[in-house]
Amino acid sequence: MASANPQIDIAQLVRRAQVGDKAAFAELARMFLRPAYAVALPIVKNTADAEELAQEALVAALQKLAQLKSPERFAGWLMQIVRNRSLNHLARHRVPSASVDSAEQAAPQLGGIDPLVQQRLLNELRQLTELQQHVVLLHDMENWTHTEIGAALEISVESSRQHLFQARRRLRESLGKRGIRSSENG
Amino acid sequence: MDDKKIDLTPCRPWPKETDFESVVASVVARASATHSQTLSFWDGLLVGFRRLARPMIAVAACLVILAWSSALLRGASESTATIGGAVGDSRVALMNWAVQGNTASTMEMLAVLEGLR
Repeated sequence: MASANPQIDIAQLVRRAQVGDKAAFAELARMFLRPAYAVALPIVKNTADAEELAQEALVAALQKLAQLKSPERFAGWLMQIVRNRSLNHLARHRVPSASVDSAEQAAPQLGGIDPLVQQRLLNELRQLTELQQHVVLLHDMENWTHTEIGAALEISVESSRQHLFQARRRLRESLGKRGIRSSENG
Repeated sequence: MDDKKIDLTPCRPWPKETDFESVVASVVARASATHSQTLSFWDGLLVGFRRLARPMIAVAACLVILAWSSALLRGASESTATIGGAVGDSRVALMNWAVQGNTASTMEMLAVLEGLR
């Protein structure tokens, strides 16, 4: 959500979308598609399912937009839909122990990314708590601020900072042990 | 605080930049298709009610004013009818008085009737 005053922009977009403005729909989809994926991924632990759930949740949220009383709470509302759908999906399709090998085979090679590196990184992420995964993915992958993360996940800004700090420390330790270089970019 | 970002790019392969807009378009198409259907049903009803609220209040106010003024008019017409009835009774009394051979001339009677109008 790279905007100077995201609350106002999002609230305005939501109000426009509520009256059927397709351009506002598209802008909301652009802003929240990947964050929705970042929230679904730690729960379902599978990139393909997370992709599908992110799309489904966003479609459902946009369809039910008229029910949203406070447009400025869109992010938190959407993330709650993503979480609920992901948990329902997990309950329906729970596999006793998802094989890393099968996941590695299933992981498509996209954008020149080594699927092995991707899978190992995902595995290390899974060692974190769910909340730590949400925070680190939204912050370091989607460039959300702590204020935005706090609003979306309904936690305090300080709590978001703490979770990020702990998540990064654990990831660095585990990635360092496995010899995966975590490129740091300030 | 550990303030250096971790490169999580490998966890974000989806959707590829080249596919991003098509995925967005697909989401918008699916959402807006059902959004308009939903709007035409309950939400449409709600939106329609909200839009009609002010005109409905104005119409209701007009109806109240009409009812009030009609009640006033009805009251006034009832009073007129009473007066009219009284005039009619007076005319009958005068006619009887003339027919009975009283000394009042027809002109006087007409003058009296004229005065009652």
